[in-house]
Amino acid sequence: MKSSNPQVEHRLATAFDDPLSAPQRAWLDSRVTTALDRGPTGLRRPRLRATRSLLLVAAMLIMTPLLFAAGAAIFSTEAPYGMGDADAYDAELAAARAVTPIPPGATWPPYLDQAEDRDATYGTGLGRSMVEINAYCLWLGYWYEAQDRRDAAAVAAAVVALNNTHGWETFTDPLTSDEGFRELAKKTIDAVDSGDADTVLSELERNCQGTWPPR
Amino acid sequence: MEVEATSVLSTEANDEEAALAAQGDRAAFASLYVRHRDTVFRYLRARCASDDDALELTAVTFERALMAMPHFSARGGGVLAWLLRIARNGVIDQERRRRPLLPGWMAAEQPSPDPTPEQAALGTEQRRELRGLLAELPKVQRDAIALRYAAGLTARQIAIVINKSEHATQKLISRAVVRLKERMP
Repeated sequence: MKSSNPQVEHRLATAFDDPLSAPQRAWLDSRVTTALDRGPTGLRRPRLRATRSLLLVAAMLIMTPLLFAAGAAIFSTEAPYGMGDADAYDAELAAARAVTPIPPGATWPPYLDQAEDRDATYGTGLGRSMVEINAYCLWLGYWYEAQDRRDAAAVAAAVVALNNTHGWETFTDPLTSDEGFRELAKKTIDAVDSGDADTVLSELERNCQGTWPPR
Repeated sequence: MEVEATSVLSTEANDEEAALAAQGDRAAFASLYVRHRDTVFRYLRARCASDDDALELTAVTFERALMAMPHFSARGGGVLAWLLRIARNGVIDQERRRRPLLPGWMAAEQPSPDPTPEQAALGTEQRRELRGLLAELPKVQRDAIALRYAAGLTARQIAIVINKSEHATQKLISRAVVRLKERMP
């Protein structure tokens, strides 16, 4: 490729040219060696480690994207269900939205309308997973508001709906929910069953920022 | 300046090693990791908001590769193209997760409370500045630039990774470089 902007290209090439530093390499080697020791089947699904930068952001916004990560991270490999284009992702979102119940009066967040990046590839199953996770969050919010205004009928409806989420594919498929994720969902729904509003609110603020607080 | 491509996407040795790794040969996977870790990291460093994020996503890339290795096929550019696609998907996922959760300014690089010697180095400032400029490019141009100048791939190799024609990829890179030049101080 002929260079028409040698200065720009030189700056680009030198800015990112450094190899891994020794501490970075040591950390990375250790992480990959651990993964190799576990082997492909024993490997927990990767989840973003809270690095300094992420920690800073997470501490400020309590962003821990556990629920989103459970849906999104695993599907970004080229396995296990393959990849599709934006149209396939859109179709999955539409199909999942059509069969996934949400509370009366609730609406889907706009980022579930269609793929935002039309050039990207999407893991098969990610669309369904995103819809189910957001529905779970909508029901959690519905429950929280209903118990706050002492609406027994709405609380009861939310309890039934949330207990039904245990059977949704995202929450049962071992490729999309590891033990930690299932434990968290179970703990939250236990809190719903026992009327523990503080735990539910904490979960809404931590993991449901796409739908909470309601717009 | 003509940047020499330092990586070969598909070679007989790469593919043989990958085939062995796909059959569960740990030594073969380790060898692929050692050969490609710097290239994957460089690409991610140009695409992520910070070196910390890039390092984490490099680890995640190889963990995902290990999980997906039994399904690896040499079609589509060989093992490095495959690794870079996994890395690229990791970046896309990270951006997607952050978008609905974080206001734009929060997704930008945060100053580290505990700078390492490397972060204190002059190169870090240059990278920070360039990352800011790259962030203003359309995603596909950003990818092409990162693959070209950070990972050291040729236009033909980049075309395989981003699934475009070689000609379209060359145009993408040229347009992105011109755009960067206009914005560079």
